[in-house]
Amino acid sequence: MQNTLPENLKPLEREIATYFRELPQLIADGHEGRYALIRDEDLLSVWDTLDDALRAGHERFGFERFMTQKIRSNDVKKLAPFFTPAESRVSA
Amino acid sequence: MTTFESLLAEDGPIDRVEVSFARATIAKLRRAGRPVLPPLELDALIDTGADTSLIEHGLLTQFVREGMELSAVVPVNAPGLGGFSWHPQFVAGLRVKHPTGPRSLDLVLPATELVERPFGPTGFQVLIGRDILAQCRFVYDGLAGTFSITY
Repeated sequence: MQNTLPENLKPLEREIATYFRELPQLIADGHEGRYALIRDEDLLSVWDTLDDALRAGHERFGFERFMTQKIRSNDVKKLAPFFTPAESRVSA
Repeated sequence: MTTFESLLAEDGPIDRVEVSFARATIAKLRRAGRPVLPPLELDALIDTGADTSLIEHGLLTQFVREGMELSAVVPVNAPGLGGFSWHPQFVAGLRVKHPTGPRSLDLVLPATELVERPFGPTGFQVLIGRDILAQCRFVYDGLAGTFSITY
C-alpha cells in the first residue's frame, strides 16, 4: 500500500519524486555519495560536494526552490513506500 | 593536519560549534544585498551512533526565513523517538571550534546538512554525526577521560 509523503517533506514533493525515479540509474552510473541537483521533474547535474551543488543551484535558480540531494542507494527501498513501482525507472 | 584534545563532559565528547549560512548562501545573500545573520554559537555532542547531524528544533528558523535552503531529505533512524522516519535537511555552514581559540585551526565545513530535531533537556544543541565525522579521525579515550579529533 502506498503511503503519503510526510507533511514536512511536501515543499520538495516533486523533486523527491524525481530523485526516486532517477535513483536506480544514478547508482548504476556510479554516483553513490555525490549530490544531485534537481528542480521539479528534472535531474540537472551531479556534483562531488554539497557546496558545488549549492553554487550550481544558486547560479541557475537564485532564491527559488531546488534540491541538492545526496545520492544513497539505501534510499530506493526507504522511499519506495511513498511511490508506485511505475514512478521508478526500475520496478522493485 | 590539525588535532585537538579535550576533556569528556558529563554528556560525552562536546565541543563548541558555530552554525551559520552555507558559504555559497552567504555569497548569494550579499549579491542580493540581503542581510546575513551572524552565526549561532552552540554546544555540539559528537555521536558516532548518529549517521546524520542534527540541530535542536527551532534554532534554524530565523536562518530559514532569511534564505537558508531546505534542500534535501534524509532517513533518520532514532529508535527512542519512534524509529525510522524521513526528515527535511537544511544546508548550513558549520565551524567546529578548536578549543585553544585561533580560528585558523577550526574545522570549517562550508556546506553541510542539518536536520532539526527536538533533543529534550540536554547539555547540547547540535549533534555531530558520522556524515561530518567521515572527514575526521575521532578518538574516544574513556580511561583518560578525553577525546581527540584530527582533520
